Amino acid sequence: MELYTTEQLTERWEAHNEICNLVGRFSFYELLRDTETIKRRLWCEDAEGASLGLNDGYYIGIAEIRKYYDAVKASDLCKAAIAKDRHHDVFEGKAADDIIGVGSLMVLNLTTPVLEIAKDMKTAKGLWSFMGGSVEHHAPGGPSAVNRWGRIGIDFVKESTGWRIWHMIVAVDFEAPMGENWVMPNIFPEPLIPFTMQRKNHELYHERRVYTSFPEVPVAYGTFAETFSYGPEDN
Amino acid sequence: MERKYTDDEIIRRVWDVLEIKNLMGRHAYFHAYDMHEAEICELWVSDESHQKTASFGQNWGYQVGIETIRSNYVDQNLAWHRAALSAICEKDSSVAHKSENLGIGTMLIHTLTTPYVEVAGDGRTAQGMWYSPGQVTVAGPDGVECMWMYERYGVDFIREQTGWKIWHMFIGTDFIVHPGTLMRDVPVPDEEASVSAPEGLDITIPMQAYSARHNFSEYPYIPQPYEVFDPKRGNGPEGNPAYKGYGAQTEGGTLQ
Repeated sequence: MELYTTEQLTERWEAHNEICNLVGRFSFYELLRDTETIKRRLWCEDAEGASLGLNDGYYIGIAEIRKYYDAVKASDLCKAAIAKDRHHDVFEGKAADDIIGVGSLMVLNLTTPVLEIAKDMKTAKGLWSFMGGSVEHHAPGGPSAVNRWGRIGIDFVKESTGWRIWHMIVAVDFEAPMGENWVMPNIFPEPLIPFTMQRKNHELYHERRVYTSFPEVPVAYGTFAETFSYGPEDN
Repeated sequence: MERKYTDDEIIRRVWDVLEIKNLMGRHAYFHAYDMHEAEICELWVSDESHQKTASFGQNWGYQVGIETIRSNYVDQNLAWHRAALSAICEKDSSVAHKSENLGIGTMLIHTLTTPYVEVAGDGRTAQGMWYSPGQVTVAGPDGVECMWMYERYGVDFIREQTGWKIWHMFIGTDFIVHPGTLMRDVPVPDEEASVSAPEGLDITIPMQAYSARHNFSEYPYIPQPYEVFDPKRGNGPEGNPAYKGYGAQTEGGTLQ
């Protein structure tokens, strides 16, 4: 067990708080459909090898991650345009950009945290379980409401502007219509943009899925080289 | 008079709370990942004296002593997996009877939310409460059962040489409901109904430890600031208002 001085513990506690707030912001900006803030202020700027992993692949490098969020925004703008068209009396005079997120509710409740800050205070890693879902009124395929549960593993890096997301893996266990069980075939739609690296990181639940211990649970560590990554290199 | 802490004591107590939250998060994931042996070894008490009084309580009573907890949580759990796999393989020849397939089709997570942790004034123990909206999915030869399972956790922790450990854990199940079922169609538990543990579990103190009949239970207690651990306010059997004493195996009806 590491023994820290009062000053070190205080600094580590402040880092812990800042990271918890960062993760909370991520969740709430997802709710607000504010992809600009997510990609510019929550994700890293300088760290090498940033990655965003989903069940079926990775976006690698901050440029690719930003392209992903641009694609999310484009999808949201399409839904906003549909909303504007359906309710032109309500949204007359407003551009789609002004009403982005209308009719959407994307909830990402982050629970069950395990958060470890490196001894050298340069990185941190955390695992959360999310119980969430989304409601969409104006999706091109029609209205939908789904429960979405899974886990998120995140590596954080300390940059000059503060703690930022460095690697993120979002492992969805199931995405099922509300009011129904999740045994029906869980099928993801095609990714918004092609993955940089296609890889089956995590299977959606099905009747013959075996136990998995993914993403791994963080353990206390000294430097990032001593621990595993939530990026593709250690999957 | 409220105890006054030094700055050093305050920050260490704050850090104790963070470590305890991490410990419980690890418990949730080790359980979700079916790493029960690792959980007992790494997260539960390891000092012999603490292991004797370790307990795991649920609606139907308490398992007392780490070996009883281990035999249920690890060995019996494995036996259930083996039985389920055999039954599945008999009905579906495409499923291979091998260890990698133990627990096939099982998925669960008991999330931990709304944490409230109090560290004792003497710094040796702590108590915590969480609320757990969860889901349990189990597969058998005839298909899959999915359940929402909402529970209340009360946990006592004790500080050992290697850090904070789980000492007494109580999980009260408020409801289990299949997705799409209206809550009004779920029967209210009978006042006098005995609550039976799942077959195969060895329960040291069988009792109605928790009931959702009135949708209200004072127990497990919301932690309050405290100086020294008192079993009568803890999450082991002595803290349960319905506890009438241990059986004939111990003197005086109290837990050894």
